[in-house]
Amino acid sequence: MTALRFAPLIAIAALLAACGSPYPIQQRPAPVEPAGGISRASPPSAQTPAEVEVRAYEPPARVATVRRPASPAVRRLIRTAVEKRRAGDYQAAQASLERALRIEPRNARLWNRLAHLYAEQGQYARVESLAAKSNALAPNDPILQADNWSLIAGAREAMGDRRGAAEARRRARLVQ
Amino acid sequence: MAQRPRGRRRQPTRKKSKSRKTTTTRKSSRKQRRTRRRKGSLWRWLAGLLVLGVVTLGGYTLYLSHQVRVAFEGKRWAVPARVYARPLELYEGAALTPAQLRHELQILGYRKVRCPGAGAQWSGGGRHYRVRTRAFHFWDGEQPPLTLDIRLADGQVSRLTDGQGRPLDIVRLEPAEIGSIYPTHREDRVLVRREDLPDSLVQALLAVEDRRFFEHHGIDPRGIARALWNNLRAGGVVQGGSTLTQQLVKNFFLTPERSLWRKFNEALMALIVEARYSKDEILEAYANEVYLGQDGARAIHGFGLASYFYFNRPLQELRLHETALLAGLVKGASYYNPRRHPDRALKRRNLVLEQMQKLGFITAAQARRAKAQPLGVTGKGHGQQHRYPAFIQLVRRQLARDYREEDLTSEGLRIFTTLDPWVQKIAVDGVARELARIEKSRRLRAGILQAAMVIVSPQGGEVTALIGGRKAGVSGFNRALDARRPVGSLVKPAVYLTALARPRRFTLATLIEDKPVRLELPNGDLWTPQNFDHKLHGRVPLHRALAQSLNLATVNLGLELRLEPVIQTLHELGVDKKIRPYPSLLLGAIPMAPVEVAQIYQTLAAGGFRAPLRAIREVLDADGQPLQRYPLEVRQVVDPVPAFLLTSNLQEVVQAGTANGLKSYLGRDFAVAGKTGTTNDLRDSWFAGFGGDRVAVVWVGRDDNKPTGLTGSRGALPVFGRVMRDLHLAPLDPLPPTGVRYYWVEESTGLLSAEGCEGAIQLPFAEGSEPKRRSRCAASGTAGLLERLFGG
Repeated sequence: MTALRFAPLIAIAALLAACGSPYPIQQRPAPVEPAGGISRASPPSAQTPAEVEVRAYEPPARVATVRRPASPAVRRLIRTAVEKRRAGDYQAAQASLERALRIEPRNARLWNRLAHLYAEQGQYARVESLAAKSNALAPNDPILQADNWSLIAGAREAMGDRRGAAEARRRARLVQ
Repeated sequence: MAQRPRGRRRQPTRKKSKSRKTTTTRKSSRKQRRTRRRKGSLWRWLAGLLVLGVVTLGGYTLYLSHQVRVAFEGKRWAVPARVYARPLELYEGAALTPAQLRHELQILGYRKVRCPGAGAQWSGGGRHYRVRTRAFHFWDGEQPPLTLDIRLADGQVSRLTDGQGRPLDIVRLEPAEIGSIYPTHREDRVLVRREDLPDSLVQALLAVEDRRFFEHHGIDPRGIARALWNNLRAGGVVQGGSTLTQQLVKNFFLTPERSLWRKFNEALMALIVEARYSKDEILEAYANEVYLGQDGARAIHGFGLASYFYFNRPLQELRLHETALLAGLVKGASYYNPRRHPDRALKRRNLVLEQMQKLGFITAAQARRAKAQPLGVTGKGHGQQHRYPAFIQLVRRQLARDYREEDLTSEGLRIFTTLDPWVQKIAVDGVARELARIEKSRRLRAGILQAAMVIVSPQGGEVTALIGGRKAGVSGFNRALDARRPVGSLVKPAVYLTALARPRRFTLATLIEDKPVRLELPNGDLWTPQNFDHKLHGRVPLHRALAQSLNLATVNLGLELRLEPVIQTLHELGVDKKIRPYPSLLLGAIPMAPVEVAQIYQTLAAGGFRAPLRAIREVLDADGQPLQRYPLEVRQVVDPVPAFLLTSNLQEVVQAGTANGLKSYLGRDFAVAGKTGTTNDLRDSWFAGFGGDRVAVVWVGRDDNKPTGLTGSRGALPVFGRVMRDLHLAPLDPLPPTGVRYYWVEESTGLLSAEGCEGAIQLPFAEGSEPKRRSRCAASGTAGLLERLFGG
């Protein structure tokens, strides 16, 4: 029963992970980091406060494209992860995402993808933490937050926590 | 082992037959008639003996043959697990300085050349490098040799292309080998196959050890004769007549005892080995078995490991003069030790080269060029310095949870770890220099201070460097893992975090009491802690109490919270062991090892997401098949809001508190969080802190636990500061989570204030927990008006 109820979510999750819809691959960005200086630049995934304002006036679909895209290296690793996952090699897919996370440890989308991989494998205990981590790193990204909350809802449900699942689902609706 | 009892049984038989023969002869001279009558029976008897002898010998041979087979085929060399550092990831934007890149190439044993063609070579310098990599079997597959064109600018990779100038997204250099896990009998080896043996090495071996190897059948009478002749002429043993096969048998099956019986056994077994196995198989076994050096307690066996040990390169990359040296070492690895006796080693090497030339393996010109080369052995502190005993110990402990000891030491596992050799090097240097400086400036006896340091990645909990003591290359007491010392004020963030998780009662602006504490303990003792400055500060804002590390305010706060919730917080942050609920725990009377403290601060640095500290990423078996992955794991153990409030408070510790001294290392406005810790009588000096990309914990103290005279900010802090400065720590940039808002408050009263008001500071609050009452300035002035109009 629970597995059946979880099925649509898995399908959505698979779609998200496969086509990378919340994460459009774009042309290479112009360098955004100021060059030089003694202090090193903050990780590329750090968000600028300006995003908050942008969100209020843009339709939600555009929000994701406003954010700073990942580096070519990370995008390459994501592609590898997607390929490996398609080939059924989940371990390699995870390893590739972890490699990307070492480069951009605060990239909320990477954490989200990793959560999806574990959800697909039924490792629900890990899903919740990874999705929560993604949420913590994306306070201004309602689409991603909603997806993370749905992931959490599915994981909780699969683990028999119906009330927790309902709460997560409520949060998923709320952030949108 | 089983051969000797059998041997003893046989010997008497032989002796008996001889003595019987002599007595028989004597008798025959005296009583011929009787002899003639008995002649037939004697012959029959002798024939019987002969048959018996042949049968026994045959049986013995069969037995030995079985032994040989069991040993040769059953024996899989104990191949210790090899441990690798993290691979260096290259991509545009990767933080990388020229010094760091050169260090990496050096520990990988890459050769600087004019134009890199073959693997493991590089050229260039300054900001532009060209590197030809080795092929490497990574956890997720094989990476072929690549030509890389790397440009560096401003501490980053600014451009990365292949040999033809095509951009590359991301490439790994192969990871440096940082050690091996060898068994208790201390044999270490890197297994090589016959086809991995360079021709020049085989030729050199033949030239000096066994020139008729490919012709003889295990023993070489001509070789023995030649050796005998040469030894007679020289009046001593200058040359051995043993074939490679005999040498192998000797190492492989027999004990070091010297006797005729052993020689016989050796010869017989050599014949058996030759009959059963091909020359190539024998050569391969020999190449892996031969003893070639000693590194402390570690015995260097086989050419594979010796190549790394002496040249820090795989065997296939060695040149003629290097293989000749290795072949020369066979005769006596300690006598010809090229590090200790370079003159002897050079002579021996050149002799090998001359012999090779004499036998026509190399031309006179080749010999001349090779002889002109220096030994080329890496320095003492070089190939050996790349062993990281403290870190390997951590790896071993983590592996011990999942693997049996004998699998680790014999199955040839390949273990990929998280160690960053560059970070480790900077940390080792920083600890050494800073301790020396402190000792000098404080007039302490040189060498009296000890230290430990752990550096981890904040989000993933990967241990990137670990220092177990001042002499990092020497294995010994690992203070980072095993020195459990009271943590002092490093525990305080757990108290304040517990408070900040109750936003209705506590905010960063809440005034708490820095007043005397008198507590009667269960054993009747009276506990009267003091502030470090022995003063009372009255009512102080909570954030300031932590920034100034006020003991009394902290104890009062902790007692109001009660001990159990504080202990609970410590467990959530990552403390595994049981903590006894004594009030002194509020001031850090809990002994912990630096690595345990690192776990706590990792959780804080990651905004409340604990990632169990890991030293291992992946394990491969000997055939390169993935065995196990240690995946990235996180668990949310603290709500993001209080975690964020605490982090901003820990930044204040550096900006305006006890860790103020960090500014002289990292710059005035550098964003970094941290906490100092000092224990009773200044015995332990601690610092734990984090920036954007690293968490680090430093302990400085004495092994005899006597006072050092150093506070946390005088001992451990400078070490942290120096190492983090040299590593170009990224600034901390915590993301305010949903539900955090900044307000201006009046410092002295904790009332809502406004920008521009006297004594107003801006602090983050959990939404709804901000003070509701306004200060007089905020209520009256224009600031207050704006406040009222726009609602903060």
